Amino acid sequence: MILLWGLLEDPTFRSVYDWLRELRANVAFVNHAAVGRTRIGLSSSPKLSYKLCCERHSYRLDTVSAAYLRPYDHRHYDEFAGLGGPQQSASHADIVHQLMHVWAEHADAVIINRPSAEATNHSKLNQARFLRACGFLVPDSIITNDLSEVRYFLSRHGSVIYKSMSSVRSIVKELHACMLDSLGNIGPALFQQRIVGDNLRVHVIGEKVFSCLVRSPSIDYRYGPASLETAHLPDEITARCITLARELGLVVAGIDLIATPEGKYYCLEVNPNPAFSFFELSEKNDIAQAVAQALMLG
Amino acid sequence: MILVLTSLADQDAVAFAKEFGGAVAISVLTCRDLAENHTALRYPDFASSTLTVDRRKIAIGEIEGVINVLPAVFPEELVFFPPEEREYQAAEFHALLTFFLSGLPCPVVNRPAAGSLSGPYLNPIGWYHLAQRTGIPVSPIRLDTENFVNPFAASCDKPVIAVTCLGDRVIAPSGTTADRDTIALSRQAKVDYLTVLYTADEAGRPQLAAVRAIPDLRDGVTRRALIDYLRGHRAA
Repeated sequence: MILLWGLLEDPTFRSVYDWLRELRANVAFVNHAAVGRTRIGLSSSPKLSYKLCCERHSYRLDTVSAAYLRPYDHRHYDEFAGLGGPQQSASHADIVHQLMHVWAEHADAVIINRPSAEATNHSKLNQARFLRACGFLVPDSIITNDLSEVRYFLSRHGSVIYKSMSSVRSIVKELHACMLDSLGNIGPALFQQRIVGDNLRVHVIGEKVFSCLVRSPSIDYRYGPASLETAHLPDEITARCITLARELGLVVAGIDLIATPEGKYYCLEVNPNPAFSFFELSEKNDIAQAVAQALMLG
Repeated sequence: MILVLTSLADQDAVAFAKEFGGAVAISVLTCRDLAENHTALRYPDFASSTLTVDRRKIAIGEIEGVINVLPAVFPEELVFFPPEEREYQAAEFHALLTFFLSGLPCPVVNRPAAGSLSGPYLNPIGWYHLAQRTGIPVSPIRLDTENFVNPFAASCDKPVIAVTCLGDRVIAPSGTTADRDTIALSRQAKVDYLTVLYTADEAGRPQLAAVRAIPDLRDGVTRRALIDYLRGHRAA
């Protein structure tokens, strides 16, 4: 049985769901929006086992062969929030999340993706150590609250961007020297040498690789006009992407690369839960098909 | 220099630093220190990073050991940021500390893992999974998200054995199989420090009930062992 935990309104999740139906897989869909009505039981004897119940269906999680988990912040749509005290309802959803999290970490199943593998993106610079170990160039970076250090970094690199150092989404922006005068005291923030070149998004699903060139005038193409086309990576870079995903423990990975005009490949980060439907270049949703096939191998 | 990374209100850490301050260079470091004093962590050139400790700029190479009693950064801790920024800043500080502690060449008790700043798991059930995989008996638990009762609160109330290990050595032995099991668990978890609480089954055999991956700075034996451990690394 393949467990899907997410929202059918999410195009990425939906595309995998549709492919699994097309492939006639045995699917158990658990609506993440119903987290307030989801129940999980756990017993430690003879070994740790979990039972999940939601909307009149009940599943023993030790029968799950593979799972695709794409939960959201349940606080945004927990229909029970505020009923019987916000603390109480929040804690129910939190406990469900924690139990799913711990199950997913330890389950004898193909999990897309295990929480510990996803967490490698919670610290971008710590993840950069993996990127570099796999042979990618990484931008020169500094985390600092010292504006004199920022000025020096900017003068050294000429062009610098700033963004969140955690997995919390932020808009990547360019730093200009004139901004520093009005900043005042700042908390430690991440500044990075700006790498100029072609933006590439590479999705790795096991041994399959889908590469996409993103053309955009914006520094952060997610927040500006962008067009997509198929990219052809050198074999060496393709192999490096597969190795990187494997080293991070990710069955599915969205890898952000920049190819410079000199032919160098920088890796910016790896998204462990990519919204790959945005990057689908075929009407058949090839990436989703590959994810569905990876789940069916479980 | 030895750093004790902790939360703002941790008086045990302050007392610990004071107790051993005459014998070794030891300072308490909090998120507030990192936020309000000059910090500069670099990558790839991590070795050239600096931070400010006791009003002095120090190089990463001056740090000889870290005792980490901060398993996570909570928004409530970051009172020096406006309330609306604290949740974001907590994630940012978690990222910063993960990067900082993971990259230090000196001993870090304990080093961060993906799950928490102080080892692999924040959730106690994670330790149960690891124990079962290591062949360590666990005390029976049962829970249900309906009518949820925390089973760990109950089992922690009645431990019969507590075993602490530090760097492959049991510092508070029990003379039972629990000593061996605690070392085995710390190896599996790849952590230097672990305290494991055991209850007894019907035959009196120890069963894992709860795990603490944060050094107990209220315990004199642990305090002494931590200092000796970090000094030993320096001597080596």
